[in-house]
Amino acid sequence: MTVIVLKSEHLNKVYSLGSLLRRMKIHALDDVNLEVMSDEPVIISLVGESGSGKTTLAKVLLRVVQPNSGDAIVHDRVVAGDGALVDRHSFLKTVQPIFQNPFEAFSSYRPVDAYLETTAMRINGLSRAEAVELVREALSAVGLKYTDVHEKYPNQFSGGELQRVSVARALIPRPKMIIADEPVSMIDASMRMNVVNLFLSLKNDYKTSFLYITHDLATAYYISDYVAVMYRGCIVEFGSAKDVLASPLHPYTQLLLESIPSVRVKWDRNRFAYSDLETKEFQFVGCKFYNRCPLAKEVCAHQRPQAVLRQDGRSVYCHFV
Amino acid sequence: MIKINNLVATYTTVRGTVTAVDKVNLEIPEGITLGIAGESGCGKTTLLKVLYGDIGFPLSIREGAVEYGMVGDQDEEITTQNIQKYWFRRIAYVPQGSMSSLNPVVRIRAQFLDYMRSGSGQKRMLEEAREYVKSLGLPPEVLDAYPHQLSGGMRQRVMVAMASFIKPDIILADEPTTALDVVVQKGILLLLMELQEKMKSTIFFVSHDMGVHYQIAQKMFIMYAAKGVEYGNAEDVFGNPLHPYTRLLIDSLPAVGDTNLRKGVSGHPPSLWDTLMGCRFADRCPYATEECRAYEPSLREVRPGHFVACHFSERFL
Amino acid sequence: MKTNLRLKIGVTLLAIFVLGSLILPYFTHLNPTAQGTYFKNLPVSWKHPLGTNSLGQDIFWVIVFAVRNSLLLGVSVSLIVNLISITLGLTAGYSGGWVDRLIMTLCDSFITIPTLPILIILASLIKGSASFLTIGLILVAFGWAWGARTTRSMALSLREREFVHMARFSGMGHFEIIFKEIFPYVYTYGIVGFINTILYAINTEASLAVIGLSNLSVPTLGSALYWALNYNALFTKQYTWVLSPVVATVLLFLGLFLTSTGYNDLFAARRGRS
Repeated sequence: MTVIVLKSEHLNKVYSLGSLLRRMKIHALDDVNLEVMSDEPVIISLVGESGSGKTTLAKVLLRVVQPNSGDAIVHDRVVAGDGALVDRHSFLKTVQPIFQNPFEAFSSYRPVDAYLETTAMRINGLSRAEAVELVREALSAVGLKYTDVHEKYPNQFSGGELQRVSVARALIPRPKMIIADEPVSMIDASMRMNVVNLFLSLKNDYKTSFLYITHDLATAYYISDYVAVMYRGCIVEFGSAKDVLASPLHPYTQLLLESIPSVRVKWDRNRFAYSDLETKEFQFVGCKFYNRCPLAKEVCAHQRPQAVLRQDGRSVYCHFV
Repeated sequence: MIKINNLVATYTTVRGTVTAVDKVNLEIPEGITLGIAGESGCGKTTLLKVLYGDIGFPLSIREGAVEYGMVGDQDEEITTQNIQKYWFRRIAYVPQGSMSSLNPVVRIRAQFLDYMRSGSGQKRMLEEAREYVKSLGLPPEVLDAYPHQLSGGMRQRVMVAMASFIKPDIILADEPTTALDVVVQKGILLLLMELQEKMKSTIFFVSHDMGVHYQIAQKMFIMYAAKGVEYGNAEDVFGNPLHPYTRLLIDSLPAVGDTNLRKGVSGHPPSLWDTLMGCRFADRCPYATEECRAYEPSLREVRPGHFVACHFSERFL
Repeated sequence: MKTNLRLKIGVTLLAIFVLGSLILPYFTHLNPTAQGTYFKNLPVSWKHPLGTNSLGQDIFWVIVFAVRNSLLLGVSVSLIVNLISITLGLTAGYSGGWVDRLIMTLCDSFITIPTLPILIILASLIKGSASFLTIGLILVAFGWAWGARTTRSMALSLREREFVHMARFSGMGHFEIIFKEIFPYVYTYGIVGFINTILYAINTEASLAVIGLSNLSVPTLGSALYWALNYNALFTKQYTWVLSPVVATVLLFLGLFLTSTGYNDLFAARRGRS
């Protein structure tokens, strides 16, 4: 049964910065349009550098911030914008988060399994005994033993382990989608694949879709079905992961790919463009990537590119592709 | 040549004393970038602090010393005791969190000039600073801004500019790109590489990400549980890693276009509070034997210029 | 271990004071407020461990009753004040919006009201024979505002932290989050605030005694000191009289402080921190 796994329509979020005299409007999300339909659970990667708007999109989906206009749909349910689901309970069974900093995600005054138990009791509506069983199962799904976690406080774990506890907690209500905001950025590079592979196995075993937000395309490559690339609040490219990462069309996607510190290929030091002040780039009228783009022409400075939809389902936002 | 001789550095805490750097012996030629790699807690930040001379309670040097191979203003040899005079003159430090290293209520240009002790013409110094910042590709408005008005990546580039402005002999960078996204990271690394080629400084770069080291390091030093386990030229260490831990670190990194499933490194390093016997990596090592658990291997030169601390390093030759 | 020593000393001190002041009064038939029970200004002896004062009272027993009354007043005022200020502060900080504005306007009014002039006006209305309850209420009314402000700013910053979001996504309700997630971070401040409020209560009571608002015939640490100063005990070299309430207050506070910080350390250790 094909469902809309993720959809956003004309999503806008504007922040106002600056002092009384010089207020600037920053479009953290600037007319974001996205649609993924599927009959199987999928992993969608949302990729971009810091300040691209990917975290804002996650916050809108998680209802932490309200969009200025537009709406967002997860698994056929409207989660944000006009007509959003009012019922918090069914919202919590639709989306669950995993945050970037595992040590911040838990209060140091409560044992970590308390959160898992609370989730099971409140959202799944179980008794304490049943909840403990469910917690045990969720923990083993992420490769942890209940006895290793029970009654332990956050500072007794490493970053990678704590993040896995976070994943276990997100899994308990069997959400339709888990939104992971840069889940491995704060973990040592050598441990990242442990958590990333977990997403893949959970997708298959628990039939949960994932929205994997990251700036690291290498880990995204491993597990994604779809990739959306964002720059300064706008989507610049979208398509299936294999297509986008194997043959990127937008110059920014190419820049991202070339920035991965690989252990196999040395960088071409001539191909790089520094970014300007963030606020200036956000305010730019034309294509936000104009200043760093090797293909930039006059038209790019004045007109924001519209989506070019190709036959293979890919969309690219560029005047020259 | 910068020499680290049998260095043992400890932290004194309420619980007791823990050895964060345990008998590290290295000779580093000048004018190169040395990459120091290892997991969190292996001692790399402590090593950097000792190199910088930032020794104060609870960190102390219990044994050994650092020879900088430099002479100071009065022709005296620079040692850990007097290096403080040369902070941000001959030796500079780029820290991890730029947010906590920049004074939030002072404009960047004032902080830039903080380091200038010669006192000659603030105006001229500021002009030079503007020129320098422009030559590094930073937008000119940066100097007049407050730190919170800039993004994390921009601030870190400013830190690199500050550290390199006085053309130091040694630059110590402690995970400068860890909290940043890949694009900004590449920008900072390219900047460092360019500066190093122009100024011929020696750069000590600490990171847990082997991919970063592959791009910028000329020599590599791998640490594990306060000990050095491998040291050599970057091509040798990456092309033919001799220590099983180095292999694990390299193999755990994913790459676009790869088809095999990569697995991260599993397990923990041993706690430095326990008394450790034998090779510290034995518990996680796929090749460990009884000999490994009983006798600690020392860092030996197994091939010209390539040192490793492993009983079975020959196996990988 | 060092921390437990701190806790031990603190608890011992407190125990002496609390138990002493609660139990000892049963061993005497004295009415401590009665003046002229003994000869005046007797020196220290076995019968009068601290001597007697110029009002003919046994200083030791005055102190015992004073400690009891001060503790009762201080603790009850502090409990009520902290209950009010923490509840209002957390609610204001966590809710934001009009709730926050309403509570803070109320709070700011109390903070900016100049306490002394109001008390003088009240003193002229009540004219010297106020009951302990009235004093308690006055102390509460003037004491809750600062704590509420501070708690509110703590709640404001804590509200944005990720574990609060995590708690929301675990299905916890707003009040549950306030007390299970946010309160523990506020708790340390709360303990310090608790002690400070006891100090405030005892001191303010003494100040009120000076301007005639309190009930001076009831012995408290404040009024004991008041009487001693009134009779110039320092100049007449009646050291036990003037120093005993001071020493008693200092030791009492030491006991409270050591207990709270010692307990905080103990709790931190149990949570896995070393």
